[in-house]
Amino acid sequence: MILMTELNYTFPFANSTMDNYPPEFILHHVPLMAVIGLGTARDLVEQSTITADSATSSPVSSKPQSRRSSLGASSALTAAKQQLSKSLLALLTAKSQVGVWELGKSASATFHVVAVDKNHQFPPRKPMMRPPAQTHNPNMPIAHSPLSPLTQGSPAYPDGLIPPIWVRKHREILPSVVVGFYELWYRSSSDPIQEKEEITPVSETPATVESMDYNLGMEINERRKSLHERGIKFSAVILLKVQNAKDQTIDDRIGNIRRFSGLDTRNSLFLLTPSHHGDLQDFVINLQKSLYEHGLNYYREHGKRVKRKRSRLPSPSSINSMRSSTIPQPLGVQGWMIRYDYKLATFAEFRQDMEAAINYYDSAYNLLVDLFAPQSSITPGAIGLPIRNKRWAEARILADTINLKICKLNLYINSPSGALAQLNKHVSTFRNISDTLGIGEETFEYWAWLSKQYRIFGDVLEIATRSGFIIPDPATISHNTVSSDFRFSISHNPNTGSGINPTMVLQHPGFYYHMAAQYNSLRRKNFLELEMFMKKEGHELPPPNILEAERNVDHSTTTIELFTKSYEQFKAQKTGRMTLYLASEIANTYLEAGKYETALKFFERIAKTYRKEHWHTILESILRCSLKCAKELGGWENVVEYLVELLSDQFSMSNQNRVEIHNELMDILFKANLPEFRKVAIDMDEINSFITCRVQFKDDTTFIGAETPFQITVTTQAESLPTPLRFSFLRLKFNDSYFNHYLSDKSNDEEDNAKLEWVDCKNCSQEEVDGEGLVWVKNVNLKFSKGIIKIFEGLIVPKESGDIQLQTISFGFLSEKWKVELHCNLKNAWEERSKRKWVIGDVDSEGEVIKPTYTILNGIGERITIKVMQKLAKLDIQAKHSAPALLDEHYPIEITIVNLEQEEVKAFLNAEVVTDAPPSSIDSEDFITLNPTTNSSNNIKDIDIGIIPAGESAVKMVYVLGKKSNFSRTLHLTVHYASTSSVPSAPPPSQGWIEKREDLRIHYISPFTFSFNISPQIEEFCKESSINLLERIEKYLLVAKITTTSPWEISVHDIDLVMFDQANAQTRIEVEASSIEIDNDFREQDWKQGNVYHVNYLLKLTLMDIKKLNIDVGLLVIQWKRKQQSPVYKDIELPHTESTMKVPELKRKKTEISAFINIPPNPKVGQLFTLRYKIINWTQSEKNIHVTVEVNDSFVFSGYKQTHFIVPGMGEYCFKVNCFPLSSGKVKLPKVKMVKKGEFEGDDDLNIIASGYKEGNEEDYFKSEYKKSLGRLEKGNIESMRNLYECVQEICINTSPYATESDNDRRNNDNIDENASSKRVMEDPIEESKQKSTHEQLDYDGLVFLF
Amino acid sequence: MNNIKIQCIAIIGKQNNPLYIKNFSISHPDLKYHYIAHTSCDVIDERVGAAGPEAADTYLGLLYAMEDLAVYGYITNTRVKFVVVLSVPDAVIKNSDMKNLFRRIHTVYINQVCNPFYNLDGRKSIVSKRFVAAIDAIGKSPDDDAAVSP
Repeated sequence: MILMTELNYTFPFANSTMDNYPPEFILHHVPLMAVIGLGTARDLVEQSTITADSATSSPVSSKPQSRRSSLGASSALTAAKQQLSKSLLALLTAKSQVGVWELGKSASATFHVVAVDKNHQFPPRKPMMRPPAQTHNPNMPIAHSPLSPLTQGSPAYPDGLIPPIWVRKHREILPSVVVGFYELWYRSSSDPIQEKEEITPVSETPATVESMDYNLGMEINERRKSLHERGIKFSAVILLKVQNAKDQTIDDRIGNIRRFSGLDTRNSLFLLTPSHHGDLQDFVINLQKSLYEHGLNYYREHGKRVKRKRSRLPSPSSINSMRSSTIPQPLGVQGWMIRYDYKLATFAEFRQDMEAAINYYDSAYNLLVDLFAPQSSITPGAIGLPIRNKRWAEARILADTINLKICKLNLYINSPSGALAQLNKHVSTFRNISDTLGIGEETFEYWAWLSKQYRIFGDVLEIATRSGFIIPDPATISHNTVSSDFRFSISHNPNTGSGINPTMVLQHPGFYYHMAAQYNSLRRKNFLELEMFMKKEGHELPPPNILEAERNVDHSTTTIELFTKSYEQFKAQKTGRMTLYLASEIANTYLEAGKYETALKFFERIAKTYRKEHWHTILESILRCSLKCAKELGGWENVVEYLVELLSDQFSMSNQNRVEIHNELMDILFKANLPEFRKVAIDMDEINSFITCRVQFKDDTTFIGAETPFQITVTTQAESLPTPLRFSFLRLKFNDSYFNHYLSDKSNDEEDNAKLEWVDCKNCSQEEVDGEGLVWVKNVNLKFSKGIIKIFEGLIVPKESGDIQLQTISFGFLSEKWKVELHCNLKNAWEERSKRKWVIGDVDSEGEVIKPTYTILNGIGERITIKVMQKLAKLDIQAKHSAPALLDEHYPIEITIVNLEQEEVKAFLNAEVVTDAPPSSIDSEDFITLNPTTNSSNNIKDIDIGIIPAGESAVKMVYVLGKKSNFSRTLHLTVHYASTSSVPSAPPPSQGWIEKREDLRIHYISPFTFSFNISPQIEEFCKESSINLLERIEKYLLVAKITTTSPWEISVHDIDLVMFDQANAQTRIEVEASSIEIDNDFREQDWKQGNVYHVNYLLKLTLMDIKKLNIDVGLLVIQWKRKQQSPVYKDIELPHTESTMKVPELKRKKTEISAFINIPPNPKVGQLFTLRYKIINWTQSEKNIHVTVEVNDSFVFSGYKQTHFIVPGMGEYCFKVNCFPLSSGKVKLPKVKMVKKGEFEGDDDLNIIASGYKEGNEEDYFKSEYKKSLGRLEKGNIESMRNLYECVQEICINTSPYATESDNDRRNNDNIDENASSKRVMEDPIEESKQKSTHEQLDYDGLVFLF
Repeated sequence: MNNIKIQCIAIIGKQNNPLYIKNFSISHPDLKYHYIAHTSCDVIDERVGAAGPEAADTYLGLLYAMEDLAVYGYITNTRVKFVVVLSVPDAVIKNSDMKNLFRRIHTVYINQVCNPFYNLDGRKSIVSKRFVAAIDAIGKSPDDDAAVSP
């Protein structure tokens, strides 16, 4: 069914300017069927328009309109009949449109259907009888076909071969089968007259069924008989109506009609019942199918007849035809043979016998070709057809069309090689003929003809492929080497075949269109040459009408059309490069036709691929063509661009050509007279460049302010430039426009033939250049010869960190009319991975460049980017100090700055100390200073270190004072320096200063730990002051224990307790006595790690408000400094520093009754002494105290063991116990237990306080602190503490009044650790207390206590 | 073998760049053969693509015929393409002859590749004198095997 879609294809040359081939010779033949009784094809068209009209306007003119009552029914009936006829006709003729590519043998039986009028008379047949050939006499008046060459007035008379009209006769006029469509008469109850009118309009007698049927039968019979004489099959179709279907006698009637008409039973009479009306398509197909064989038979009979006639012809070689070229001679035997062969072929084609048709056509073709030869080889003595006369042209057309037929039929039978072979045969045959006749390759007509042949072949092939014909893949074809007939030797197995004949390989139509296009372009060329020749010679060679016609031909358009067809074909094959080739051909044709703009567009488009794939030869031709176009169009920018690319030596051309291109470019740039100034920028990366640029930064990284050298290696090609070229400028574009260079040409004419040239581009000056901005400029030699390497070395001095990239190098020409820039874009990485090279070149003292030499750099490839960093400081900061640092001390750090630079530098130091404390903590009070006697902030800035000579160092001492927290501190040291030769104007940190940072961590520890113990001693009412009797005096013992934790030896200058001012004026606290004041030799003690020092203070608190419980005491201040030991300290006299510790608040107890014991000093064995217990009642009411005394073995006690007394409100009571010591030593006192008997509150033990009492609850703390800080227990200390704790209950009894000192010494010795090197500092707390108490004894009369 | 008349031998790199194109004809300009060689790349790609990656046959046979020229193709394992353009005799060209011809071109190419100084990945034309001479020998006398023996 795919083939069907092609039937509407109209032959491509129908409207072309070329002389047409008669369609009869080209179209495919199928059996012809004529139909009668359905109207004609014209009716079909008209009716459809009428029905379309009737929808709007009432059919006034139609016959049924004039009728009366039955109007509606009958008109509907008529309309239905018309409708049926129309449908049938439409279906029958649906497939009968003329087409080049007909159904072929694969299609179902189909007729070409023509509709003829009912009364149509087919052309009369010429008399069947012909005289035998032997008696044939041209002068004998024998009736011939009107088309025969023997008939005067025939188009073929007297020597024509086959006129197209003959083919047309069989295609369109003489049917092989005729089908008549008839309706069966019936008596319509409403309107019999109508029927009578319809069917037998001539009859006046009243119609009966029998007579009507008889009439119909007779009519059919008449027709049948007349056609049968001509051998044409006739069939009748009876269209039954709905009314007939009801008729019981219908079978009889049909039988009668058959009898009357004389139709035989088989395939002659068809009934189309109303029930079939819906299925007309099937009916039509079946009708054609059943009659098809008859159609074929008809043509077979014709063929047999013609064959007979041909066989009667004499052999052409036996006839000696004396032909004169001037007088028209009757057709020779050879001509008749051609004629008969062609007829045979035509009839074979009609009956779809393709092989036979090919054979007959082939035979006709061979005979025909012979006619063109000057001397016929078949008919001896016969002269070929005269050139360019009517018969010659006819014969050529016939030959071409036969060729086409053979090609096409070969494709029908799927013999692509056969088709191609015929084409080749045709082309080569006529080439030979043309050559022999002298109308060959030098005439445009030959090329026109050749182009046409290929074009038609391409067309046929294209139609065939579109209709489903598959062109075999050349890879699968192989040809038999033995057989000469390639048509049937195709094997689809490449392994069996041993070879291939390239001429026998059918390819897709694109190739043939391409050839047609090429030949057409040759046609144009030859025609133009002819015109030239004629103009020169002054006379015209071919007939003027042909020349005139040729002049009107638009060759280029045709050529482009053909190329475009080919292009489309290749595009469909997805062969992109082939389409490029065709595009270039199209472009060339446009160029020849003078359509430069279009041509240029094509060239530009296709150039890309060739450039990309390095097809330089092709690119060169495209560029040259483009150049031509651009010149014609005046696109001078493009001209310059093409010329620049053509300078590349990728294009292999002679030096002469190169020089021409070079000169042309120079002429355009510097001499051409152009109306306006032009600028053009050419991207050299996009085209083939005659110049290559490579960039190397010498180093990977550079520093701010450092001179950074780079080299641009410009290489010219070995063949290009042919003559030295001088650029006007060379521009280097960096990503930072600050560095842009603009190097102008130094117009010196010095001849330098060095292959390697080093150009110094350093020491540029920064100037404003017109159109360039502020750039670095210098005049250098920008002359380039072929095959040289020029190295431009430049310097940049980065001013900030980041990447600096050299982006574009532009070579420029500057003239009055032009500014041409050739951009070498450096962003694209260079693919070659060779080692980096650097050229060492220099200028000697005389200004001559020393011969440059290569060195190898690290790395490979190209380096267009350099990373700029801060210059690495060549400076060393060293810090010397004695860690750990102690809190509160001026911690000296010796900072040594070593200058490792090659030159002397000026340096500034910044230092900042930062505590590691968590950020939430209170503000640091740390500070750093250069001078320990002054305080400053936590940072010092811009300390002028001064000038440090190269390689030497400067020392700076800084002091860091850390306070409070013993977190580590970090000291940030920053040195800014600059060479003395280039000290920046701005102060550091700023551009030009080199920075060096160093961080230093300092570990801190506290030099001491403190612990305090405040114990109440005595309370009393104010005695001395009579101003306010309500003042109350309390005394407390403050014991400050200072433990040295510093690993360094510390020299303590002084310890002081600074009392706070009390908030209430009536509350006073003062130091009554202190151990420091007593100890006169305290000054400048040295404390070592682990040493403990106790300071005791007796505090006197005077207050009125006894409800105030917490009293601020003051600060313990230690003035000290580190004992100088480390080398850092050696020459420095450090001031004393202060460590302070806040004494904890004095926590008063809220007591109602206080009890104190007063122990007399120096009790001795055998000497009575009295213990006095003083009880003070601080309340308003009197208190009852019960006393219990328990005696131990050491004493004898006199008095009540149990008693009680009453202490009055705001009064005191003294309770005495007399004791007689029995043994010496340290003994327990008699235990006196006092209980306050409360009336409501219950009993309460009284706490009896002795002088020197210390709150015991601190004891554990001491112990554990010792464990922690010292790691080991010192026996003596523990002992002494226990003593301290038990002091209330024990008393030391001397054996004799003189033994006291020695006894004390002995105990001292017991308590002091034998190993303790710190004996001097390790104060025995007991000793301490004892000493103190001794003094107290002196001060407080009556309150004597012994410890 | 006698019917083979070489018009052009083209060596095309794997990126479809021409490596060496030699025109042996006197009737046609170089440009035409450059075009033919270039357009052959399409057909070769198509053939190779159609045959699949496993196809072992390096000989691709007739690529196409254009006018009076027949274009034959061959592809090496490194995807270097050889194209030979013949002027068409009206006779069968034996595949064995063509294969033989291509094999000889291949040998010459292998010799070229064996040169350690030859850049395989370069896109420059082959300029080696020895190579040129060997190809010339093949082109001028396609049936003389001795001409290319090293």
